[in-house]
Amino acid sequence: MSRAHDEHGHHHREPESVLSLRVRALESLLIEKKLVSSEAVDRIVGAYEQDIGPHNGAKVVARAWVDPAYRQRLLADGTAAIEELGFGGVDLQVVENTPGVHNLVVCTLCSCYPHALIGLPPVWYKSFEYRSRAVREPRVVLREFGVDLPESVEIRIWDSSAELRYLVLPQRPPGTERLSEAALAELVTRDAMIGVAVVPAPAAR
Amino acid sequence: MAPIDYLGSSYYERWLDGNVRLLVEKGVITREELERRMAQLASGTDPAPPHSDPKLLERMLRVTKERPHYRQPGPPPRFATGDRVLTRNDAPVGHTRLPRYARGKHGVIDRVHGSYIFPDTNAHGQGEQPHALYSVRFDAAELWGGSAEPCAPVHLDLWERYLEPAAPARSTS
Repeated sequence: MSRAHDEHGHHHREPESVLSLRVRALESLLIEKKLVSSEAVDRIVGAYEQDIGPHNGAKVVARAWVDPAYRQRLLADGTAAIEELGFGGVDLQVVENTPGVHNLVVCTLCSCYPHALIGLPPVWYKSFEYRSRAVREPRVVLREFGVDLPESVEIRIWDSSAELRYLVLPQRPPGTERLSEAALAELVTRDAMIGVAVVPAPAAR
Repeated sequence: MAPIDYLGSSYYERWLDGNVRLLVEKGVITREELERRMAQLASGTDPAPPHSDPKLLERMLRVTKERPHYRQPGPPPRFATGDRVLTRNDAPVGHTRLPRYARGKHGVIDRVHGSYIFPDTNAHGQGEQPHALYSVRFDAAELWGGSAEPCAPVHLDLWERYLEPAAPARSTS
């Protein structure tokens, strides 16, 4: 595909790609048929851009770290437990990392992902490489992400083949005993909730 | 989607293709209509003016919040946690959620999720047919043979119709 290069590029619009045109045409048709509204599309796009992201999942994780009863409820019925915090739209199972067990989430068939809690998936999560290798050689994949686990640690891979979505409850890092729930949530990353990272201890002050 | 197109498409191209295909199959839009609208948009006119519809807005936003409807009542589960099962070795032409790498393999029921709509029939207009869904644990060696990594079991969510009972594992091994 050729891109129009122009010194005064802002005066000339680049030719729109067929893909972009097709998306806009579909939206236009569905609006015309009153099946969607432009207002709703904008609101939902806005929600994914601003409201729905890893900070939601991080709140769930931080609550589980500070509240053992909540942690139990979360592991027993993730769907109900996240509703307590105002999150929904997903059937959820939460899997917990411990000193002896590390969990890793993948979707080999497509790219199922707990959007409601951690937003849109990163490009690598949707790649054929991650999807095929995470089940086949998880230790190698994790090392490439910088997570080097001894063979004594069991790696449990969760291939999201049905409608349930998986969220990893990472281990609470050492040295965080005095942190508030909000400060703990700041430490939790998207990658840690997929299982390709661990939550690092906060930098010493 | 033809395999060769699938492999050559980006993630969102695949979603778009699937959505267009469904809308055409269900008679909501036609391909000609879509082509025509693309031409109109390319020439700078959009015949569909933005409109406001509070009820539609509420219905669309609710989808991002409410519990999905995949869980539906069905017959009681045949298997319990700890049961050994064998996955069917089948190669259906249509939709399935039993990945090829896990066909004809032994596993253990890890968790009984409850009754869920069966995508294999639902995707083809043959009804929701909800029935038991399980998390099934497979040892890495069962899936990948001698070159498997140690201590790396794979868990798959599988419907009961993919599964047959298997004899308990030899306790001496």
